[in-house]
Amino acid sequence: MPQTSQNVPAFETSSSGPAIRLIDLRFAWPGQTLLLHMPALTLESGRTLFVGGPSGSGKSSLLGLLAGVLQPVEGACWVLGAPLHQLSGPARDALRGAAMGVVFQQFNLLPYLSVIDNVCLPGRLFAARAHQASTQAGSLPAQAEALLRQLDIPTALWQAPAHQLSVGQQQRVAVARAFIGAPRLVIADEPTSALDDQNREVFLRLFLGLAHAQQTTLVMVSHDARMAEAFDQQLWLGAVGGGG
Amino acid sequence: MGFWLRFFWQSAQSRRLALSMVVFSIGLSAALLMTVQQIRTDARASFSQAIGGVDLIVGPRGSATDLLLYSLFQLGRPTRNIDAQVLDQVQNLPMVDWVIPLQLGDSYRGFAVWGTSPLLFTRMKTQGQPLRFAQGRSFEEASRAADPRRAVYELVLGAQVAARFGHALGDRLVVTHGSGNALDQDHADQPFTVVGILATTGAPIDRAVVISVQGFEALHQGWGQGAFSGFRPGMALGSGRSGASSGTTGPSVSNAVDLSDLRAQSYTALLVGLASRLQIFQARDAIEALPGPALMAVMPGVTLDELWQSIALIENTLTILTAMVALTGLLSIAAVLMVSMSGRRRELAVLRALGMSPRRLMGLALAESFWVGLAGIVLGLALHQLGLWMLADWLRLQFGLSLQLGVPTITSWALLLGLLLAALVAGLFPAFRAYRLSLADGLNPPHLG
Repeated sequence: MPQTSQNVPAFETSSSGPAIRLIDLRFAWPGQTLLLHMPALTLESGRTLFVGGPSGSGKSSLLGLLAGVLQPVEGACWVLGAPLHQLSGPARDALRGAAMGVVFQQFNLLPYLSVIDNVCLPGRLFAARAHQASTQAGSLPAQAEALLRQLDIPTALWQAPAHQLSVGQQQRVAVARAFIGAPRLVIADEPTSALDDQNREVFLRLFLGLAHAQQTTLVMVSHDARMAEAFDQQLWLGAVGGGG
Repeated sequence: MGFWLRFFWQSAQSRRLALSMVVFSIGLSAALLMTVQQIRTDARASFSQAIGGVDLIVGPRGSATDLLLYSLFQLGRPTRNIDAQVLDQVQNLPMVDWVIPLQLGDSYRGFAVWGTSPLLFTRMKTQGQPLRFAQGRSFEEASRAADPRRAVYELVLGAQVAARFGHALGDRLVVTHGSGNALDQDHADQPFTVVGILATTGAPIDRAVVISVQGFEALHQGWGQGAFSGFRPGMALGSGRSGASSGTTGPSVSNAVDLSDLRAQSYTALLVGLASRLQIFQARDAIEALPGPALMAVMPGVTLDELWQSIALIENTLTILTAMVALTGLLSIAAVLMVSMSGRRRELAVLRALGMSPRRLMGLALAESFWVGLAGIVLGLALHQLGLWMLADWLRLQFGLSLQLGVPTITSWALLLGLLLAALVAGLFPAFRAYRLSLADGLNPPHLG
């Protein structure tokens, strides 16, 4: 049975300094040619980064590396002061759970859990997140409700199973979950691709608004270049094998 | 931990069809396993309890198990009888307390007729209890009865025989010679009167029609031998011969039977009780050393053990079959959970993104297998008990098999524990799949159907 874990990574994640620092980072799927090469990338804490490029350019792999679910073939990957390229799998998982929020393109929520339970999930898994939520809003559910309100999720839906929500609503609930417990880094993989234009506008405004308000570092991947302007920093990845 | 209970419950709820099928299949396997196990042990127990109180069974020399089976369980037929005089010889041995003769070979509508002495009702024990009359009484020993002619035609029914044909005290029955085939001759001229009905015991006596040795002989007088052979005036029964007073007992032909001549020429077997069981081997040797045609004295318990050993192959086959059934159940569990795991890839990806390590996801899947296995076993126990409760009467009446309701034996618990462990092992496959999938999918929940 999973337990609320006190897993604090065995190193000090420094809150000063850059949130992300990549040095000569190379990634390839096993037995395949090089997919990604990042000579250098630095993102200061609290800044927002847009990652664009055609499909197959390694955008999602970059996010996988930042989140610690993938390991580089070569190079250094410092995230929130932690050397991800040196950490064990469980340690990377623990860092992600305790200090990061993740939003996917779709299917972010556990369909059988209520909206509020979905939002609270990171706090149930990692005590650090629950503790932060309590410090900021009094309690974990209180912060979940505050976030849902900010993200325009109607109160009537809070106790409903997540699968009853529209895709647009589900994406916004996913954002609430990503931001609960004040993670220092939120990463999002094509979070708007399942949304229509109007919903995309609303989503982006709320997403960036929360990041600025909480001074959270944000990395968002999208093939839709129109949104790039709204971010502090942009990164364009080239075609397959493109080293830059 | 309220949240995690809710999480488990709601996750299971979302897959309730698949999971309930798994629970049901484990339940059926468990119930089957336990029922077969219980029938095995209880069959053994009810066989050995059916022969309580009897220290030795005496018959013509031959197969010990055959003697045991045809004398007490009415399975198979005797090929030879023993001389009637052996009864007295055995009775006269110093270590022998009592001897009960047993004559078999006739039947009443398919049920065996036992010709014996009233001692049977007081000496024989089943399930550790002496025999008990549900209604009425024992027939009387003709030589001691006030009305010997009537006593000869008295009859006691086993519980199952009475229930089957709805017989009550006072009913008159006609016994068939032989095993009841159409060609066998009815002793239509010799109706017996029911004077007692035994309480249910679970032993073969439930299926017996019990009459006195004299009654058994009376059936055979005048049949196959022509007229009865002798008439001793001193022992003849005047009232019977007058015909008037015993008119109620049947056609006048029966009045012609000479009670003085109702001495058995032979017996199928003798049931012997000893003064002390410590002398059982001396008694056996003494009986087998008696002059005349070779005899055999068998200890029912020992012979029963030999019998079980000889049918161990069947027992083992049954066990193996049951194990196969359980294995099939477990494979289906693995298959169903495996398939449902593919359907849970998105769920796994979400939990992985939230910081759950693949190992922890594997643990989650294993925990589910454990709870599903446990639920299945609880269901199996319930099905098993319900099945026993519904089948117990039928099995007892039909096969004389008495099953014990209630607390499962240690063996049954061990079986259930084994099944739970096996369910966990089967759960390892889907759990490992969860591990692999979550590693492969990483942060990208797959697009499924």
